This record gives sequence, C-alpha cells and structure tokens, in this order.
Amino acid sequence: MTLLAARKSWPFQDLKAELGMSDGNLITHLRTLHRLGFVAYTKEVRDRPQTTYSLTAKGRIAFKDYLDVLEQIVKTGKK
Amino acid sequence: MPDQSEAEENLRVIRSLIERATVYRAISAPTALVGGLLSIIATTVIFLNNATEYGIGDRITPREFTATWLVVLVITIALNAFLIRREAVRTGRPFISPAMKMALRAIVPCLVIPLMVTIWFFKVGYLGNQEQFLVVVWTGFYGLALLSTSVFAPRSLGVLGWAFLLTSIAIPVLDNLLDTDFSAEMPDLVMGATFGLFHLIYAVCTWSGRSAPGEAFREE
Repeated sequence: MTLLAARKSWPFQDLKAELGMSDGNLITHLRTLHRLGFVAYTKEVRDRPQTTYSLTAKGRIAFKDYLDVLEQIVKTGKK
Repeated sequence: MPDQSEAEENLRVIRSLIERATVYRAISAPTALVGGLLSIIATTVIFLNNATEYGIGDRITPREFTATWLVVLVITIALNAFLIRREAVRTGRPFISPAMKMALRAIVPCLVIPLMVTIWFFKVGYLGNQEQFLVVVWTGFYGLALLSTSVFAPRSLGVLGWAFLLTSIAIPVLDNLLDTDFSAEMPDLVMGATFGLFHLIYAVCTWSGRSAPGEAFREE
C-alpha cells in the first residue's frame, strides 16, 4: 500500500521486484485490494501485455485512516 | 517486531513518501482565469478613472487603489476556496487536507510582509503616494509565495512565481529607464500585467490538462 500511495501507478513486474514476492502471492493481495475497491488496474499491450496498478481515492483514504490507527497505537504504547 | 521508536520512524517515512508523491496545485486554471480577468477589469477601471480626459470619474486615490485590489484578492481567494472544497467533496477528501496544510505552511510566511506593508500603506503610506512600492512588495512576495511551493507544486506554478519575482525586481529599474506618459500609471499597469496577464497566460497554458485545485499525483 505504501508503494501504491507513493506513486501514481505501478506495473505488476515493478511491484513484484520491489516487494520480492512471488507472482501468485502478489496477485492474491492485489485481487483482495481490488475487490475492496482500494486498488484499480489497467491492462495495456505495448511490446508485451502489462498490467499497472494504482491506488483509488477510497484506498488512499483507507490507508491514511489505517496509518492514523497505527499512530494511535504507537502513542498509546508510549504512555 | 519493531520497537516503539522504529515503528514511529516507519510511520514517519510512509507519511513523507505519500506527501512527496503528492502535487498540490494551489491555483487552478479556472481560478487563474477569473483572477486574471478581474485584475484586467480592475486595471482598466483604475486607468480610465485616472485618465481624466475621458471624464469617467475622479482620480483614484491611493487608498481606493489598494481597496480595489484587495476586493479582487478576496473574490479570487473565495473562488479558489470554493473550487478546492467542491473537489474535496467530490473525491471524499477533507477540505483542509495534509497537502493543503503543507502548502499553507510554505505560503503564509511569505505573505506576512505584504500584509504588514498593506496595513502601513492604509495608515501612513498612502500620504506619500507609495503605490509603486506597494506593488513591488505585492508582486515580489506573491512570487516568493508561489516559489515556496515549488517542491510539491507543478512546474507551471514555479514558472509563474519566477515571472512575478523578476517583474517585481524590474519595476523600479524600468521606471527609471522609461520616461513615458504612463509613468504615473505604472503601479496600475504593472498590476494588470502581472496579476492580470500572467494569470491569464497561466490559465491558458494549464487549461488543456486542467487539473482540479488541490491534491493530485506527481507525474513520473
């Protein structure tokens, strides 16, 4: 989610390389995020078929909310 | 399992990554268009009033000059706020987003001196017909305000900032070099050229890829 939030879009292969995940593992995560409306994808064919993934507005808000929750947990732990 | 300080650092890095990926367009094309047109209208009204041969009205006093431009500023800011709010509602983002706070943190310090100079002008400065000094301060610091957002703003806003800043520097030089019939109208004409013409050019240049005001992604 951090990677998706930090750039407009990511080709599948770049995400895979960055995260060091297998195709199957990564696609499972992305499908779940897509089903929840957090991630959108586009398929295009240049030299070869390429799928790029991007965070939706809903996904961005959800991720920020998640970060807020994490921050609260860290703060609570500090007290 | 990360310890507390590590977790805090990770969160900070994630947030900064998101912020850096965000482009914040403080001035949208429609705002620039309306602001530019209002400025051209204000310039024309002041110019025609001052040109007594047309017999349109009395010469605009320094305070009226300042008040006219403040009205233009207020209308333009109100329109910009309206457009940002509309976009925020449409995309489900808060009106005062983190990116907007970031932009305000950069812009506001640059506007303190123009604010103080404007107050001084209303109280004392108007007695010395210091409109040109006021215009130099307004254009110069407005340019600096735009440039202060260049880290997270689209390149076009930086170019606009430089145009204002360089014009501000050039005003006293040009005033000394050019001895025309329009010397007395220099402050008014400069306001029309900068806040009017520059904003219209910016609006035309950014209209085709018209991005909404507020947050957007940085193109790679």
